[in-house]
Amino acid sequence: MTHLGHGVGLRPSHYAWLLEHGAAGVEWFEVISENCFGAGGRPWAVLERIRDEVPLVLHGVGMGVGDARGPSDAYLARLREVIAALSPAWVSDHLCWGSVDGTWTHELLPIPYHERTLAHVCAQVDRVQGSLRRRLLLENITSYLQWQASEMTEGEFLAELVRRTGCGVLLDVNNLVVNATNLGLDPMATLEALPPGSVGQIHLAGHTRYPDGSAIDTHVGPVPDAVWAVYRAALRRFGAVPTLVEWDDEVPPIDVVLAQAARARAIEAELLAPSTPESPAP
Amino acid sequence: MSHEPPSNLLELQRFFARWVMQPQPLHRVAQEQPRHLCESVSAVVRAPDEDTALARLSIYHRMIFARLHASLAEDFPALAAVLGEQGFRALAAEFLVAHPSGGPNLRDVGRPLPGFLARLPRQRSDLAELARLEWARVHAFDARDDRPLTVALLHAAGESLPRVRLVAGTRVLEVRHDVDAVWAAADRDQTIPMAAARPGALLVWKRALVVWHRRLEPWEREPLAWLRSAASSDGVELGELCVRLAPDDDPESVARVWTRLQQWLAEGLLTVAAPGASV
Ligand SMILES: [Fe+2]
Repeated sequence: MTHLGHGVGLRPSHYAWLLEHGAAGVEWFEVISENCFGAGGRPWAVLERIRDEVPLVLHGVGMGVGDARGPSDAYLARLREVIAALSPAWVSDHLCWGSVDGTWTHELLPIPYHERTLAHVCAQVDRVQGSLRRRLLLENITSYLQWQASEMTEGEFLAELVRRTGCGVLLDVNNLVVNATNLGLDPMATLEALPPGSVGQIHLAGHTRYPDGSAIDTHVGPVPDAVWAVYRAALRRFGAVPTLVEWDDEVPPIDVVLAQAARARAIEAELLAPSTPESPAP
Repeated sequence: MSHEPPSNLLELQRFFARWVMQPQPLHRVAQEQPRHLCESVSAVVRAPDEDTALARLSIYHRMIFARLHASLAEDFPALAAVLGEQGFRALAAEFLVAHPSGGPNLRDVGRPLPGFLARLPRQRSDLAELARLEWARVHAFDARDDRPLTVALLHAAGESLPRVRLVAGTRVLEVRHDVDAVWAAADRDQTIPMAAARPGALLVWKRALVVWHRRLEPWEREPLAWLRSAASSDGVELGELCVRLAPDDDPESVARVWTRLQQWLAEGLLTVAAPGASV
């Protein structure tokens, strides 16, 4: 997969600025797939403006590869149309479920991690990749609970999913930090569980900590130090990976978000630059 | 509810939905369960005790309702302003039980709300009308962006007059109250008046990515209804539309037709009917 560099999530609060200025200074945008499911409105006006200027990636929140019935044919058909219209560099969604019996929760919900659900999710990922005729990246999620039925970690589950289906991983290092805070899970164990080469994209974001010691994955604020630390560890393990900053609430002007992407770029350069001589030639 | 923990993915997801997709606080639901049906949450959710397991599920309960509530408040800002924080929250909870989200797009959650309001036993028809106006605005905003027909484009078309139709997302709403005044006050953060009786019709449409609405003038009713009936076909002859803009034989008709057509063109209400046609 091409290294697109360090991008930012396209958010409605940036539309007006982008319609006026275009996408100058942005290496790539991640677009929420479902925001493009309508026929018109500002999302499409913005996308038509920027799609020739800057690479786009589609990121879904509603596919539901972990839904008991899997993604619907209608969902996949609409996603295919959006893919045809936008030619994204790749397409991602989450390793989660979100709807049951026709009711949508609009949340990213954990599935129990065991062999039976693994077989189910593998079958659904095969189906999705066949339908979209491309590789899918699946993101590790924030969980606020663990199921009694789980017999493996999310990292182990993802690794096996990659091995069986050829899908890739969208590694959200903020989610790892939030899960460490709330559930005591070890971010480094997830990094080690995932095979090198499996991570096609990284997400960076902020979260909100509460006085009781819990954290909620709000995507508010700059990327915290604890997240940067796991990002560094991820780059050491997986090498240079296209990285994207998510900022979803209290969204600041786009240059504030871009400054976070620039910091990720600087960390990558610092960690992964070929070793340079002590005193560079004049 | 059963004693047995769910045995497969579908059962587990139904268990989750049963607890979380209802508006009551989870601890209250747990207390009110009949003893013989008592379902152990900690048998399903990893936790040291039942209270902690319920607290974990409650995080999702709060997040899901907060997200759905925020989406409804965004789509129905004037209704939310009229009802106030508490009133709108109560309405949203009641609505979401009757109409849980039925698709992957959060944008669609509010679609049944105007009808739901109209059918409430304690219904206030002005609130249902206000909700209908707000949903029509959402619908127009999300509609395809048609390129409006302009006077300049008409000139460029020369002799061959195009077939025309209303821009996508245009709606006409029959109302019995001045919900447009209520909407305007909410939009300007002003004190919101009680809706008063003012029968008429509201036209809702989108121009240059901005949604507009206004009262219909009497002369517009017939030609608009005719245009809307032609919406699914390939439009209407512009010449025939002109005839309908001033159907009488009044000597001033020609001037009036042009004034009326110009108004619609300036408002961006019309577009060329043939898809992809390059007038
Ligand atoms: Fe993420």
